[in-house]
Amino acid sequence: MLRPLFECLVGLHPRAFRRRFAPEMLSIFDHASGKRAALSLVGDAFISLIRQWVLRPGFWREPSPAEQPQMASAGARSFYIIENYRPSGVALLHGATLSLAVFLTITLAFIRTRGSQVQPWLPRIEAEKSEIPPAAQKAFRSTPVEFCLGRYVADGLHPATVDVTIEENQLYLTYPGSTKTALSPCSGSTFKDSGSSGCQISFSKFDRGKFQQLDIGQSGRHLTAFRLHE
Amino acid sequence: MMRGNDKQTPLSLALFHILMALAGHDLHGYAIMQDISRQTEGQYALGPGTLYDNLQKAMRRRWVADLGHRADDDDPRRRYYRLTSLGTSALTAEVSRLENVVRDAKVRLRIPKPRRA
Repeated sequence: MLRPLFECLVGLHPRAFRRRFAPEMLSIFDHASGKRAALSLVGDAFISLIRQWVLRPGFWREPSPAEQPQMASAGARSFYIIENYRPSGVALLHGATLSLAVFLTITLAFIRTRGSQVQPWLPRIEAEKSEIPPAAQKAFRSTPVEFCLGRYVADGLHPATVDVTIEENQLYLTYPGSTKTALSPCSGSTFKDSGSSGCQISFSKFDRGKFQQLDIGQSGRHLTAFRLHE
Repeated sequence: MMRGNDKQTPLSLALFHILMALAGHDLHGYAIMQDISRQTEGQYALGPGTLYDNLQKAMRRRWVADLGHRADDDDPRRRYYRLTSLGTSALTAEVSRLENVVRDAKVRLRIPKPRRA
């Protein structure tokens, strides 16, 4: 069984190599003694097969007589210089194909193991996503404040509550111990404080018909509060 | 002998042992494998795939010549190989390089030179 396998492996070598060395390789196999030696030869033939196809594209074809250096005439030295060697077009194409295949394999394996996320060093472009589901977006344009109303609680060393209320179609934000502040719409679910400059209030995480999170940012400071469910 | 800027790149282990095996006499492939096993006391086993890959390279460099089949050999598939003068030069250069490497290694390891009786 090993002999046919060895013969098959030898038969898969490039034609030039096979024509030149297959009989000798089979002769060596026939002289090998023992199953262990035969197995070793089969393994060597497999490695040789990969080597010849992957690393020796220049040997796939037999050199023509014109390519071989002329034999020296009697008494005269002949020299063979390899500096003028140029890889054949097939070898270059093979190298490019192999490089591309290896690159794609590694890239796909990398992406699969990391899931659908792309690593930070690759540019990632995300479109802005509205926090509001499509069904509610139309309603939001006409009655945006309904989704924002309520009491929000900010966790921390000293929990604070923020109330969002509406009076005469004007949205107000009230901090504990301070007067209420009117909010002006900026875009989507973002508002700005009509009084303070640079204060921005954003509502997010739309769920159960209302926003669940409130973010307040001003001069580098940031506060996050979550809806208090009564 | 190569000099100066004509230094050859170090030979691979397989190619070096193949040239060494052929340095003594003409051999066929299987005999080369057996000779290498003897050279290395069984430490290095050369398979036919590696053997003929290196023989192919050596023949392209004109270091080894293919003598074909011998009439006195009962296996017609066997072909004999001979080390050419170029191959002898290449082997000599490699041996010289290895001698330098071994000498440097001994100096660094401070292995004393054997005293002559």
